[in-house]
Amino acid sequence: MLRSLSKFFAIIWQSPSGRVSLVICGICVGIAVFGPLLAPYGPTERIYDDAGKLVRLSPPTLDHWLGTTLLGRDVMSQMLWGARPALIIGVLTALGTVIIGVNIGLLAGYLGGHVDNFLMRLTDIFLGLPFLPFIIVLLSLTGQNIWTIIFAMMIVMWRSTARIVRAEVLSLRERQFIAAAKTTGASDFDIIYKEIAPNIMPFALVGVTFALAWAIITEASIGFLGFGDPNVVSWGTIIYDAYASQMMYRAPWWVVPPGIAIMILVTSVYFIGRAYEEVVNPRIKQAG
Amino acid sequence: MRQFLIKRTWHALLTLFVMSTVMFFMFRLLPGDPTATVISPALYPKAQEALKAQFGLDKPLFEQYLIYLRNLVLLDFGISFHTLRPVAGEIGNRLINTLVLILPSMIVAYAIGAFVGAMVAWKRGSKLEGALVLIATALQSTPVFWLGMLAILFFSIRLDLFPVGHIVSPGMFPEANLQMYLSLDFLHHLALPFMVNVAYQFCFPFLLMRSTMLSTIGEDYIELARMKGVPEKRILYHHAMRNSMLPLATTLPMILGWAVAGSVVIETVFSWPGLGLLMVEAVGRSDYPVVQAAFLLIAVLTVAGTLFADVLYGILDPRITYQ
Amino acid sequence: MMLQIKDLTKHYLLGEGLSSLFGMSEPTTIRAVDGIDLNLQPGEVLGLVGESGCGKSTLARLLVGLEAPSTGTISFNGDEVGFLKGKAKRAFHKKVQMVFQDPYGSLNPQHTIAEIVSRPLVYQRLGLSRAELRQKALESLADAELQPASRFIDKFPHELSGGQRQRVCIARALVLEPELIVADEPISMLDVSIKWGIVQLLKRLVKKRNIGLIYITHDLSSVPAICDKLAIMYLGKIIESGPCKQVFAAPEHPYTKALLAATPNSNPDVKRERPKISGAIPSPANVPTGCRFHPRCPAATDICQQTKPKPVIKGFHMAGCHFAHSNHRASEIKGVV
Ligand SMILES: Nc1ncnc2c1ncn2[C@@H]1O[C@H](COP(=O)(O)OP(=O)(O)O)[C@@H](O)[C@H]1O
Ligand code: SF4
Ligand SMILES: [Mg+2]
Repeated sequence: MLRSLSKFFAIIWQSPSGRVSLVICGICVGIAVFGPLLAPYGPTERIYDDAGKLVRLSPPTLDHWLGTTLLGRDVMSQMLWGARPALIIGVLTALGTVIIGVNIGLLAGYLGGHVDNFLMRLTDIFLGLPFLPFIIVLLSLTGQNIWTIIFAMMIVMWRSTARIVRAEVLSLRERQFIAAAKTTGASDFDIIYKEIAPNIMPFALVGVTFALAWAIITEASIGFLGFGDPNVVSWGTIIYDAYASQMMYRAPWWVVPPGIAIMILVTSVYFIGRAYEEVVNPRIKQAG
Repeated sequence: MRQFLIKRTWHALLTLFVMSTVMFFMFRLLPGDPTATVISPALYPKAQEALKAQFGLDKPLFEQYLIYLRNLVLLDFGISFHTLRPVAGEIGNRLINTLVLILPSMIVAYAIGAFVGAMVAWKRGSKLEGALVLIATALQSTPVFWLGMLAILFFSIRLDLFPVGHIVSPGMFPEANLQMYLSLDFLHHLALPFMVNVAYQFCFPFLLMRSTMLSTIGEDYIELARMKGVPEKRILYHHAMRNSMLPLATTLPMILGWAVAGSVVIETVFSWPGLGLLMVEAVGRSDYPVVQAAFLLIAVLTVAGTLFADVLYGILDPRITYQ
Repeated sequence: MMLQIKDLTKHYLLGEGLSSLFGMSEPTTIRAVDGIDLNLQPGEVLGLVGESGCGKSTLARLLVGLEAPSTGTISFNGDEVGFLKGKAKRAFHKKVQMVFQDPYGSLNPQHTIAEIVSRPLVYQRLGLSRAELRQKALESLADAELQPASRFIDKFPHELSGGQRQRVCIARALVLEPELIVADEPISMLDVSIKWGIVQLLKRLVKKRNIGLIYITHDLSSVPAICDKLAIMYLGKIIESGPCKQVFAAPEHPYTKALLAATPNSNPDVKRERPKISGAIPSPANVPTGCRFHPRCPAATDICQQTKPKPVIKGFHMAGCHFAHSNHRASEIKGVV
């Protein structure tokens, strides 16, 4: 695990685009961790001027670098607070997705037979599942908070990882070191998790990065459609608030920053994923 | 081949069956009573029961399920809780509206993506290549609704070039008909969501074409054609590009299906009265017959896309075996 | 007797599935191992020799319990291997180890040498601590004469040479202190310069630890250096077996003779008859009638095409040829060649 992770960062650091992306992601993580400390105001704090009037829709000023919202909230502060939920939801979803996907792929690929048939049918069903509509329906029924959002996304996202991992396991299980493990008395569990799984790590890590990118965007989309956690300010819900207030076209400073933040973060996550994939997946390496 | 087709179709039907079953039970078993908004608990019990009977909710769960399945096969999606009219009547138009927006923009995105991807791969290592990869990735990384909002902000509000949303100007076409889809007014409304969707969907075909081309260019037969003195242009169009189309062509139907599923977001920004918007609105109103119908229709399109992609791959790729 | 194999077969059915159900293709039976009897005592080395594709690896997989026999029995210290389950099976795996042909493919690329060598102890649920595992790995590597063990133990397989990797494979086989090792062509993929060292190592280990060793090879030249007994395999069957020296000195089966003739002679004084065989080994899906060697045998007669030869045994020396241990075949062979 640790070994694969340190290798992961070493590989990415070697490519210039990977390095830049890693730094950007690091900054985002920094904002997620320390943002609330740096933020001059609370995420839902209403700001009144000296005359006691609510500072509504103020364009960027020295006091409010990114202006204020219709309800008199400081956009800059909201941005600093909003990184945390975006990243937490993204990272947890990505990890959960990959853990489910890797395990299903491992079991289907290694055990084969009926187990494989069943799991692959299941994967097919999920592949045909309309992504956002399903999440929306699920959220409307389970209620909306961070955990149901993560759960809803995980439930539909594991499918592609499972497929990729299964294909890889099918070839790995024919390798001789698997036979070697069997002749020393390894159980199926040993073989799946101690012999095959380490060889799946690169695919899992690629899966984590792409799932992370997807999850961040999807979380924003869910927020935008009005199914976000109403008690949490994330980059996605800032855009939703602007949209729902019908003021978005009069207050670009309110809408533009969260979108740009998402774009930059997700772009760098994608580049990290690709930089790593190019090295660990020889097929792509050949092509690039 | 026939067996392969039959097997795949059977899998697709199975998928749809499982999905509709899950849908049915999800609505009835998960917390939150979707009938609560229609059948107000404040009504007299008698009135409540009468209403339940009208929607068939008084019967045992399993019987409801069987009726539901029968109705699905007959394309009878029940009565909307909101409009109290048959769902099937409302949903047809919405489907057309979604397809009219998604299909052409996806095809254009694929065409542009494929062409630009091929060009960039042909002159590999250029400054332009890096810039385009960055732009394409950034577009793909942008929440599409935000892209739509920016487009509205700039093109509609600042430049006043396009309408802010909707499919036609209010009152122009009381009835959706062919004339409407052929009108200039419709095209005027279509333009902006169309362009935004093209920009958003451009990345995948672009990157896919670029990487396939890069590996195609390395193949022996391209070298051979070069040595035989075939002109570069001809090698590019006739040999390299043609042979790189396969992965692109086979993924198109599946991506199309997914794009229909993803249309929820873009339809919401542009108030485009498609299936996705209908679904979001219906969820907001707890109008579950409509939610169910819209969801299943989108699911049919997604599943059909996946099925079609599989079959196309089977036909076009000689290496696949039909077991 | 430690190891006793009786009438062992392994047949693979190909093309079962749907297509044969619809009569689109006949299922074919591949007779990879087709009736084998063998015995082995502790401290003994049995050389199993045959051309590529004759079923040696299949036999090896059966022996170590990677596959189940179609018919026949393998009994190890009295237990029947094919029927072992659960704990008994694990206990069996502790006593019988395999060294694979491919020192690249048989090491998990994601594991360090320490992990590779100590994993068998983990899989055997011996409950050793990390430090103990490492210590055992070091000892085992030292036994496999990979010196200095501490320099290799934290490396990955791709950082080692072929010979070093094969020593790691041997160390992994030794760490459980097995009673029997099956080595499937352990030197065939190694550089010529290091083959000898590995053979010597195996020989020393057998003597030091009193292990039984089944040494599989397609190349006879390394056999005299290590083997006590020899079994020649052809198309899934043992066609000649006996004490190594005896078989080398006086081969009875035409196939053995041909193999010996093709092997560079270590002792030029020994003059051998030099029958040549032509053609390739037939497919095990289509075993010839009568004597399975007859299409390629320089001494074949009519009877060979129709009747399966019975094993002819003289002392410890067995040969499956109609004319083995009889006098008139020599002239026959000369007549043909
Ligand atoms: N799992 C299998 N399924 C079908 N045929 C097999 C299988 N394993 C081996 N065979 C066939 O059995 C024969 C013997 O193979 P093998 O034991 O690997 O020979 P050797 O090791 O002597 O070269 C070959 O013809 C091979 O194709
Ligand atoms: S039995 Fe006949 S064919 Fe077989 S080896 Fe002896 S002489 Fe040759
Ligand atoms: Mg072999």
